[in-house]
Amino acid sequence: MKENQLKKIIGRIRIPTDDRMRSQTMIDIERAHRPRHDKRPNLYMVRMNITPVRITALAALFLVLLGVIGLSYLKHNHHDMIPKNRTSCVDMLTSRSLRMAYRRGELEELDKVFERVNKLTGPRPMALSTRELMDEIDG
Amino acid sequence: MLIRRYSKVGKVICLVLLLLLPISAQAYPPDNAAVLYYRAFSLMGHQEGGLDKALRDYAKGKAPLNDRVRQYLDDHQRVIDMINDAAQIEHCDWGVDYSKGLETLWPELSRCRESAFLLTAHAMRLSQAGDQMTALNQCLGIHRMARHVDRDALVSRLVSIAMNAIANEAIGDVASQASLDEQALIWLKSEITRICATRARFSAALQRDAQHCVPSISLEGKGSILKCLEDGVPSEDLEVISAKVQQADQAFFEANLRYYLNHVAMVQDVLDLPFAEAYPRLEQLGKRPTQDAKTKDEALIAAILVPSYERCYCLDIRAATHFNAIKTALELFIAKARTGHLPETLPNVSSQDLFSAQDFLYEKDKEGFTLRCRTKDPSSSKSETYEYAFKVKG
Repeated sequence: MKENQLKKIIGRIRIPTDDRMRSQTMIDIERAHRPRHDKRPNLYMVRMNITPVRITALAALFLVLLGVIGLSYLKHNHHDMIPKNRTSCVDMLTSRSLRMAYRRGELEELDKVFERVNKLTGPRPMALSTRELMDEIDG
Repeated sequence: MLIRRYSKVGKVICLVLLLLLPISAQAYPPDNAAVLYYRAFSLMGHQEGGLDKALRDYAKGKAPLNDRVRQYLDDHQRVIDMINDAAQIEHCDWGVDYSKGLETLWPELSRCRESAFLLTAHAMRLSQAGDQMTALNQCLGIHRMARHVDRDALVSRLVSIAMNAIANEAIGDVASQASLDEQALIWLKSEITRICATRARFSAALQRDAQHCVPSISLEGKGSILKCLEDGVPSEDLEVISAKVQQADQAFFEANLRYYLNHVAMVQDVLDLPFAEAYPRLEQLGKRPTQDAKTKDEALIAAILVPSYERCYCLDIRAATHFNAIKTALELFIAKARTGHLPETLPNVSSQDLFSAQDFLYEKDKEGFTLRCRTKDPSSSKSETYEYAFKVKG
C-alpha cells in the first residue's frame, strides 16, 4: 500500500495523534493489509514448537558437528594421504618423497605411491609400426 | 722368413678377434641386469579396471585364476622371461645418480614391486598346472630380483624385504602342494641359503642410507629438507621448524650432519646385539632426535629424516626369520622324503626364530606342520606372533 493512501485513511480518523503514534499506526495498517497466507502459522512448526531461532541453533550445531567429524577424519587419515600437490611421477619417486611416504604409513603408504605412479606412467605401446615412423619422418 | 710367418699368424688372430667383437657386443643376456629390467618394464601393460587387485589376490592365494588374469599372464610371458633372465645376472647397475641425495630418483622400485606380483602369479599358475620345480625357480627369481632392488636408500631395502616376503609365502605354498624328491628339496634349500648369504646386513643397509642422505644435509640441500617437512608427518611445531631451516646457515647444516651421522652410528652399534637386547635400546634411541630437537637445533634434521629404525629393524628380522622358517621346513620335508614320515622334533640343523634367538616351536597336525615364533614382534601394531603353516602331501 502506498504511503499517500495510508495518510488519507489515518487523516479520516479524528483522534489526537503524535508522530510516533502515527508511524506505529501506519505499520499496523501495513501488517493488516499483508496477504493472509504470510501470517498463517505452519501447523507442523507449531506442533513441533520449531521457531526460527531454534532452526538457526540446530543448523549451527550441525555445522559444528560436521566440522568436528571432518577434522577428526582428516587427523586419522592424514598418514594415509599422498600430498595432493604431488602429481609428478618424478617428484613422487625421489628418495625424499618415498622416505616421507614410509614415515607416514609404512609399506602400505609406499604401495599407494607406487600404484599411483604406475597408473600415471602406463600404458605403453606394445609395438611400433614402421609405417607410423615413416609417416612421422615424412611429416 | 720366420718373422713373415709370425706376422701372418698375427694377422689371422687379429682378424678372428675383429670378427668375434661384434658377436660379443650382441651377446644376450647383457652383463647389466638393469638393461633387461628396463626393457621388460617398458613392455608391461597397464593393469586397469581392478586387474592389479585381481592379480595380487591370485598371487597371494586369496582368489582363483580368472580369465582376465590368465590373459594378462599369457600376454606378458615374454616380459616374465626377460625379468627372469635379468634376475639371473649377477651385476645390476640401475644408473642411479647418488649425488642428488634425497632427490635421487628410484623409478624402478614401483615396477619391481609390480613385477614381483606378476612373477608370483605366474609361479602360482605353474604350480597349479603341476610344474612345481619351475614354479619354485620362479619364486627364487623374485628373491634374486629383490637382491638387485636393495640399493643405497633404506626405502629400497624395505621394498626388497616386501618382495622377499611375497616370494617366501609363494615358496611355502608351492612346497606344500608338491611332493618333491629329496634331491629337489636339497637343491631348493641350498638356493635359499645362497640367497640369504647375499642379503646385506641391516646395519650395512643403514650405513649406506645415511651416506645417501649426506648430500642433502647441506646448504644446497635446504630445499629438499623443506619439502620433507611438507610431505612428512604433521607436527605442531612445523612452522617453527620450517622457519629455522629456511634461515639456516652453513654452521647449522654442519652441526646437523654431525648429529645425524652420530645418531646413525649409535643405532648401528646397537644392531650388533641380540634382538631381545637391541630392540628396547633402539626404541629409546628412536625417541632421541625428536626429544633433542625441542632444545637443540642440531637435532632438527635428524628428527625430520630418521624413520622408525626399530620398526625397520623388526621388518628385517621378520624377513630373515621367514627365510629361516622356510629352511627349517625344507629340513623337515627332506626328513619326510628320507624316512616317509615327519620327525617328532626339529632336526638339529634347523634355523632359528630370530625374535627369540631360539628354535621355532614345532607342531604337527593332520595336514602337515606349523612353525611358530616364540615371542611377539614388539613393533607390530597387532602384537603378532608369526607362524608358518606347511601342508605335507602323502
